[in-house]
Amino acid sequence: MNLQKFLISAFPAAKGSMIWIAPLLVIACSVVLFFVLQSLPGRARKALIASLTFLAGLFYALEFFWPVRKGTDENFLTFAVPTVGNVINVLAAFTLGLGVFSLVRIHTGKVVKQREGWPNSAVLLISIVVMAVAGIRFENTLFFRSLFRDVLNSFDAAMFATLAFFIISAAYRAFRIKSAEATLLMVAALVVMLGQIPIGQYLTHWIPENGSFASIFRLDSISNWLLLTVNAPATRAIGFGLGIGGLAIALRLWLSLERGAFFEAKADES
Amino acid sequence: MIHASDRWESAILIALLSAIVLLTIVTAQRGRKYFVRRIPGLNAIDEAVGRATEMGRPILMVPGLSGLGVVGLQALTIFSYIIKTAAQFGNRLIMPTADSALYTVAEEVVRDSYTAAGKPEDYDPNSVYFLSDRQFAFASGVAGTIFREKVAASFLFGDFFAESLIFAEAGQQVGAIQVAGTVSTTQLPFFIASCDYTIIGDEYYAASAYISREPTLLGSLVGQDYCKIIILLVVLIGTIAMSIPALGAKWFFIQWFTL
Repeated sequence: MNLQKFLISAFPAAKGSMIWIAPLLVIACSVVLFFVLQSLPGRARKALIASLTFLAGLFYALEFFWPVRKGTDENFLTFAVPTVGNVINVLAAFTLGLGVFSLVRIHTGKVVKQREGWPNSAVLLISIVVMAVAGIRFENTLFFRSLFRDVLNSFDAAMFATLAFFIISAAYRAFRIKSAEATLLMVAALVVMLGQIPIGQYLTHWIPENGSFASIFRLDSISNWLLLTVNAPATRAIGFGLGIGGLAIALRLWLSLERGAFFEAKADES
Repeated sequence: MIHASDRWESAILIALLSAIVLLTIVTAQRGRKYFVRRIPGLNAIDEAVGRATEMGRPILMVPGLSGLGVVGLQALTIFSYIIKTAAQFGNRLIMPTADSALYTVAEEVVRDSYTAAGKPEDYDPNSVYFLSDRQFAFASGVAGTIFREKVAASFLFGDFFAESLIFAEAGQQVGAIQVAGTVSTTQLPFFIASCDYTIIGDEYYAASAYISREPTLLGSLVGQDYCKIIILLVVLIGTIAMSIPALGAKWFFIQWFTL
């Protein structure tokens, strides 16, 4: 019997009343597990976290490196990938509750103690309740749609629009000619910008486009050269460094070699 | 689903690079000393914390839109060092988060950093909070915090997208000293234009080794450099091979690395 068949026979799909009983049992087990974890001494908890992290990483590493069955795109672990993904989603859902709790706790405190700016906190709390009720109870109504589309999306668009002004002030600082590098940056930026717009392309349109040596002096050619021959390799080089850095930190986290953070002080203390 | 058997050469390269990193970690743990070059952006952390102390204004730390992955955890490692330094001077800290999973870990890291600094009583549970997982709702919340609190120092480490410039320009407007580091290469120009110091590329992952000088991390950093040399050699051989018609695209080496 392979692993997939064994797991399906060991954990059959819930039917009838088990659909309700099974989640309640899982929640009860989670609560028990939570208290067991809390009562563990720091070093034991650290060892447990390290073991679980290693097993989780090992699952994905094995699933990637294990050869697939002939004629298929799967090995003996592939079937479990969606299930493991669901477990991660469930854990993330728990943390979302904690996040909302943090938000409500801070702003309720502000409203109750009437600290500076408390009316804003009150608006936030009311908005959370209204949006939650609208989403749960009136999902397919005009009320929810207008809250989501006309209010929330408009706020998003307004924030995004502020970028236009911020880009101008940032560009002004970046392109001020203070040094040789800043001058080079400004000239390069000017050429790239001109090369992308019709008026810039018009400035050198009289230079033949293809087949002649002179074509390399067209603004759009220089602009493309800067983007593809100068900028792209630099970005790729940064990408290589980031990829290797990511691999190294992933290995350290997987093997619990990362020191100085993540529960270390707490574990050593107890 | 992608598997190693789809492209064995890529899988072998991943395994080789991983082995190099692990080997250098082991040699560093056995006492071999490694040198790390100066990274100005990371040296500026102490300067920024000092300035916040002088001004008596809070320090802001933003992990961007990072989730609970390597980027977010690396941001928390850097923040952990900042918190330990700031705790010595009694600075107030603010850390808004956009990801609820990262928020739960961030809360632990901040509390543990205060404990490690010997000031557990200074930990303020309201200093770390979840704002919103909507990009621009988070952006407006953080920008509002920067303006209201008039932060003295702003540390932007993690995954950033279009909201990066909103944070950096808001910090500029209140006169905060700003240090930023991100893996999002598209946002680097905005940070360079608006922040006092920017950590570029893999310096972001080198930060924890640079700050802590812990042998394991230093070994890992040196391993990364060896890996970069291998990548550089592959690029160099590929460039030469493609430039020589006799070898060209049909050479087995080029075939290996052709997508």
